[in-house]
Amino acid sequence: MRSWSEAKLSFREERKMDLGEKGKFGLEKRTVDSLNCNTTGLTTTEWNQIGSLPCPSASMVDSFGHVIWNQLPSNTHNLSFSNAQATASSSTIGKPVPMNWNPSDSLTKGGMFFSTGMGMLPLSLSQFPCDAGFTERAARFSCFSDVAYPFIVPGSSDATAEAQMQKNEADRIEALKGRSGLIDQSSNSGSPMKEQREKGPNEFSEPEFSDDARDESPNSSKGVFGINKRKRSNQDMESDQGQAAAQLPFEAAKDVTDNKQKEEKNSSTMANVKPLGKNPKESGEAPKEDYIHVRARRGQATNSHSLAERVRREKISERMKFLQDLVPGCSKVTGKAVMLDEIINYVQSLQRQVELFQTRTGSSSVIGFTPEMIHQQLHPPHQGLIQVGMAGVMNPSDAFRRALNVQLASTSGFKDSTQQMTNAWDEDLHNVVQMTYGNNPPLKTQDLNGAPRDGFPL
Amino acid sequence: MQAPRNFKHDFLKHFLLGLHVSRDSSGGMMSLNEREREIKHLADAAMALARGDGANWSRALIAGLAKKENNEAFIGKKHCKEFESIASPHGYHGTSSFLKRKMIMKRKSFNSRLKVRKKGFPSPSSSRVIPSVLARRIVRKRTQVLKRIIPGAESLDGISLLSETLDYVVYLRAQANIMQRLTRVFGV
Repeated sequence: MRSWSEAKLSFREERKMDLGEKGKFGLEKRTVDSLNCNTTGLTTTEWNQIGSLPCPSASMVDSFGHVIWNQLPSNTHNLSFSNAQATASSSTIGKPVPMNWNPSDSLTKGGMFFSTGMGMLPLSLSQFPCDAGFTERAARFSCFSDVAYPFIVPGSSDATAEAQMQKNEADRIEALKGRSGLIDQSSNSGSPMKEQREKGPNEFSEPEFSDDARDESPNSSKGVFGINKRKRSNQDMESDQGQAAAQLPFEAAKDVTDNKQKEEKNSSTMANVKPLGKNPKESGEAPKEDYIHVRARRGQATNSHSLAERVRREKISERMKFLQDLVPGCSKVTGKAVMLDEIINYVQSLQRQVELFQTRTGSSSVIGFTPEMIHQQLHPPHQGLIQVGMAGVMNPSDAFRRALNVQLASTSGFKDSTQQMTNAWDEDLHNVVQMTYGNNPPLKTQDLNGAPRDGFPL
Repeated sequence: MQAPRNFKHDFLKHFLLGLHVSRDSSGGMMSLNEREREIKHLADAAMALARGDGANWSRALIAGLAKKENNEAFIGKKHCKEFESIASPHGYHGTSSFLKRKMIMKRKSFNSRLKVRKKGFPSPSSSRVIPSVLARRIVRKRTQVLKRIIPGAESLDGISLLSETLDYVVYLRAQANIMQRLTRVFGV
């Protein structure tokens, strides 16, 4: 029990840190973030105080869990944040235990969080499956008729959604143990849904759930896209687990639906999958079948071509929905063409950013400077664009000042800058510190790399 | 959605290790261009290694990196083994042969499409104004661009292409985050 709670605490912290990153860099437009604002503001300031180290290692996270667990009994009485947290914690289960660097504050909050977390335990149980939680996730995937479900997970903020999620989770976990839960669920779904057994919707539940169980990433993500590539590459051993988990609800639902319905062809490793053991006959014939049985919806054409087209279209639209969530600013956009354009722009901008950071890394690790290098360093004109375009966290005034600085510095010529480059790092830090306190540093001495450094929201 | 935590750890670890190795092995100074290219390869390798086998683009990256002989110097001997373990089991020989075949097929279908007209198509003079055809053309152009951008996605069809971009965007964003923090730590 104790180790499980500690593990849960560490999960919660990880989730918080990731959520904190989200809130900090402000790209995600989830409602969770709006709720997190109050609390992650806290954590982000703590982050900044520390000097913005990269993500602490998992060992540190575990140590936090230990410390806070020990401190719990003394802090459960602290309800100063109860109001703010009551709503927030409902959505962000395991709402972050803050960092331990401010011991007095953080620990009290941590204790409080933990106490509210305890109240939410049934929810958090489902939201943070342990490493062996493939089967639990697979139980979630069993609701392939309920595609809206995955979107509730990250974005929900109200208790009703939580309750529904909890119900779904309970159903799914139940489904694994005995398939009655699944049967109830599919009968409850009610509407004449297509009973397709494709892995499309199930695949895309997985990326959503990778949010919840961050530690399981390699298998989960491999499971998602290993399934995709299964037709080409049969030896995707690592995705076996994910697929095995995904297959279990398939096996289960077979009882409910048509007996003729079969699964998509899988590799020979499917034979190793142990179903729930209630249908040995169907598990035997599962690996042999090659095609998907799709039932026509009520009132729709039953032409085979149109059916196949509809399946394909639904797959595509599903993926587009996920992409819409991922790419910022695409909630209003409809239609494939415009969405694709946005996606392309986003990917290109991300790649350019990464390139930028790479050049910075390169320059910082090179010991000496030559005039050639300096000229090259001064050449990134797109820095200004990126900076102005993504002024999420920065104040508008700061953004403008920095944009101006970049522009001015680039037009001021290279002569001044070459002399300044030698003292670049000291000046850089100095100027950055000045800027964060709102002073107006002399423009000409700005180091280009230094100016847009802070507040790069991502 | 976010990239998983251990991916971030792995990526950081690989990247930093690679930086150390390259700095030690390079000895004297090299030009900025070389340095940038090296770091780019390093970052790609770290990304692909951390991602592992679950996505097409990671395998494509590794396959591309493993081919070039001059990369072995800084990629390091330990990484090489992992490269081979990831790239070879799937027989990922790059997209060259498959692509050639696909391009031939596309050329054929393109030619045939010019001649064949579906029933119900209006006269050719007004065909350029039809919005559906336009939309299809735009979508096609953009998917081509997308295929160029995402590593190893040239041979994928529409649906898998979209899932590939989804996966790629998640991990690319994580990479950008990590590298931003890294550069901040470096003091640049």
